[in-house]
Amino acid sequence: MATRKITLKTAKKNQGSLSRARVQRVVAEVYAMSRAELQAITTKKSEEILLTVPVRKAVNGK
Amino acid sequence: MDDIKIAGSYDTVFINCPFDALYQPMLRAIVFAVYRCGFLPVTALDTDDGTETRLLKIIRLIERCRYGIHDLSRIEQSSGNFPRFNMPFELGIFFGARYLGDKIQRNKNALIFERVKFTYQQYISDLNGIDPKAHNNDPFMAIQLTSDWLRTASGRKTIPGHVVLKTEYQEFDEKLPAIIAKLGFAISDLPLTEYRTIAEAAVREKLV
Repeated sequence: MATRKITLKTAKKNQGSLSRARVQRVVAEVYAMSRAELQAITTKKSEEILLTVPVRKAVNGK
Repeated sequence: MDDIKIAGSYDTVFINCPFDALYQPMLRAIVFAVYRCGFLPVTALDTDDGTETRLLKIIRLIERCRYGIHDLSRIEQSSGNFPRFNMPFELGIFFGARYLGDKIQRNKNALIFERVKFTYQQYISDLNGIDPKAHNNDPFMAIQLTSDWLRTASGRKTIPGHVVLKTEYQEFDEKLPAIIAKLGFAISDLPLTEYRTIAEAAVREKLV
């Protein structure tokens, strides 16, 4: 059954440190990959990942 | 472009929930569902301004959001033997705005989550008659309840059915580790702000 498409809503200002254009590129790339390719990336990258952004700690458990 | 727009106050959903690792699968599912339904998820972690107190920031965010998701499922005692009051407190602010605010604020609409049906009556009996929804700590149930509520509350005909939403979220969840790895993060430590950017891009990818 055909449904009407939603309009995606976004924030005026990007809150994160990643650029939207870069993330969109990476997402498109990954969505086009096969399951085997996905697994290969995850295994390879998990060995070499370094956090590039400091992690925000929970405040009062939230 | 027609497929993406800056959100107005009628498109924003304030998410009042825990932000710890235990709750992460739930929060990620809810954020994805909100985007996929055509709304913008907003949380207290969105901006970091040292000149603004946490409470003022929360009040400002609640004021600008027509919709609110308030999860009371995790109010049990913390390691210091104190119950967690933040979520009920913020729900109280939302109610205050809804019933004491101006014409715009009176349009507010909330979805209240609990873990098991009717347990709220034991700790917040003032909510009797409000009908909180039980998600049983199941992210897919949270997706279904969120989309059902947004469809009813907004009256929008474009919101997809929960089977579509769950299928798309499952696909996204499978691809997320690879996306995160390629962006140079670890899945266990991905900040919420970065997750939001990724979820937004994933929803857009499927719409194009």
